[in-house]
Amino acid sequence: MLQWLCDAAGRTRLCELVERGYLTKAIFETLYMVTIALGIGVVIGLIVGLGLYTTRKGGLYANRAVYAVLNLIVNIFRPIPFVIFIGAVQPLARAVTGTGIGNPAIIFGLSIAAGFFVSRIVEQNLFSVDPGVVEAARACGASRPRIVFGVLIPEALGPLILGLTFSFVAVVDASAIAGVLGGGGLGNFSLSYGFRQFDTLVTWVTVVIIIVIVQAAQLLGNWAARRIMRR
Amino acid sequence: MAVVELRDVTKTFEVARTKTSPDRELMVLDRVNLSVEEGEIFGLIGYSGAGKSTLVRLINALTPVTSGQVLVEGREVTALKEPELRTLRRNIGMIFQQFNLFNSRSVAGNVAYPLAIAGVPRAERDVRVAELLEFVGLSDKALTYPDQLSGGQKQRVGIARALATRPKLLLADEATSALDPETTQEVLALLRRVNTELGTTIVIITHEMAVIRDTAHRVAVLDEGRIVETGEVYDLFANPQHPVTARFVATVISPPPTGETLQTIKTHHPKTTVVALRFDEDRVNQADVYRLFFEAGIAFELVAGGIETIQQRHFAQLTLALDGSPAAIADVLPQVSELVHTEVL
Ligand SMILES: Nc1ncnc2c1ncn2[C@@H]1O[C@H](COP(=O)(O)OP(=O)(O)O)[C@@H](O)[C@H]1O
Ligand SMILES: [Mg+2]
Repeated sequence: MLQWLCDAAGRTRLCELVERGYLTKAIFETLYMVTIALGIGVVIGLIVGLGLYTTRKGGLYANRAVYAVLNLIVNIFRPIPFVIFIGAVQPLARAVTGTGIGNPAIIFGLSIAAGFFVSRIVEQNLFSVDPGVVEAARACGASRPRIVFGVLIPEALGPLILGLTFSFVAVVDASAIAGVLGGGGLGNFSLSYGFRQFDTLVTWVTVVIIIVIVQAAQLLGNWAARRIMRR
Repeated sequence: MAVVELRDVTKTFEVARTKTSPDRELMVLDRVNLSVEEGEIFGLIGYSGAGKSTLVRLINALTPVTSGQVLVEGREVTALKEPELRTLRRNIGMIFQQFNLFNSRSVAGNVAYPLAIAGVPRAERDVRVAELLEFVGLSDKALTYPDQLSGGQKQRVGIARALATRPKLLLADEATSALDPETTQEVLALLRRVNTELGTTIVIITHEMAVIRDTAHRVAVLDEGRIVETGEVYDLFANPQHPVTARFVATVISPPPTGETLQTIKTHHPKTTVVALRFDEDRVNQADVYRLFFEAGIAFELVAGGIETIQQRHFAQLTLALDGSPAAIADVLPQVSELVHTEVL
């Protein structure tokens, strides 16, 4: 398709970038960053989100102190703009990944930020589960872990998947910022070869590619959620 | 031995301090005593907010008591630890106003859930699920999901799920309050079958006196956290002691007319004496009373009232307009009042 674009638009710098494999590399870098960050983010988000939901007053593991701490951390870190967040966690990134710049550091920051983001999404979706079904499971004599994994999560799965799709889009968004912070991916590609070189065509091709990625994820997410909710 | 016994049970909730109420403790149940006998359907009636749901949730310890004792089959629930409580709950079925089915599981999956929790092997589970769905008349819905069922069908699934582990005790919290009158009858009939065919003791909670009339053997009336009256259902209908009980009875059997209604009756039947009679047909026939009027040469017209059958016993609350000479009426009324409760309106 890229080749076709080149031929249709005539010989432009875009074709050169495509032929040298820069665009493909950028696409894969973005997908790579987003997949890893979202993967780690989902694990963190599930744990923290479940923690928030279950330790709240009246929850299965109601614990005022744990809830207050979790809530405080999420409330403090989640609203920080990603561009600033990355800088803030740079020392930590250096400690963990060995470098404070480039893709590894970006992925590290992205994972943590995604974790906070997904935490709230998970918490909100668990809230949408009717407390009555938890009550019914308790009345059946189910243990708390069995209620969480056998009832709570399956009951919230449809909305959870929609929430994760939403998170994917947010992570794609944040990953583009890697471009200004020394990382790779489509953000960097469009900044370096599009914006800075006044090549609007390059920028617009990047836009289209991102739209395609986001739409594909959205369609997949919607389809999976619909299947699970049988609607 | 009583299946359930509550001894001086008190329950308070901590509520956040607000501007209007400085109280931090909300007393929801106040020194409640009651016992539910094996094999009976025990009704608990009260207005919304009386504390009914709180009370029933103490029985399977979904909520802990503040003070007092709860005994189930002689074991003190209030002394049990979490793992023992889980075992206890496996042996007590529970159904809910909003059914509380698992939407992520099929009908069969819902019914199988308590069996899985109790560690019943899969093959055995399948047999039991089929048996239960047959019992509640939903064999053809095994693979359907709850969101495709009507309210009545959902509650039947709820009942099948609650009975899965063959509990001796079933708790029903407003089980028919979300259903239309016809479906209510269906579900109540099923609950009576559960009681008679399976011998399950049932505690039914409701705010509708008709549900008590149609199912319960004994009943307790809960008002603002206190049991104000308890006894055989028939006796409560025939002779309510507490004003709250009387108000509940009045929702099913119209009480003697008063005020405007009485005035209308008197305008339509001038020159008559209006009397209200309460028949407890264990003791007297209507015919015996009417014969007295007949022999005294008094004609009468039935102007208000109702007749109910409660636990195979009849009960009537009838208002008559008596047409005869004042002397004859004055003469006959003392004789009538020897047979039935009589009140001149
Ligand atoms: N967890 C709770 N925390 C605080 N108040 C509660 C709680 N549960 C119930 N209540 C209060 O207890 C009272 C009785 O509630 P409930 O037992 O649900 O009544 P009913 O089932 O008879 O309508 C109500 O005033 C209700 O607001
Ligand atoms: Mg209630």
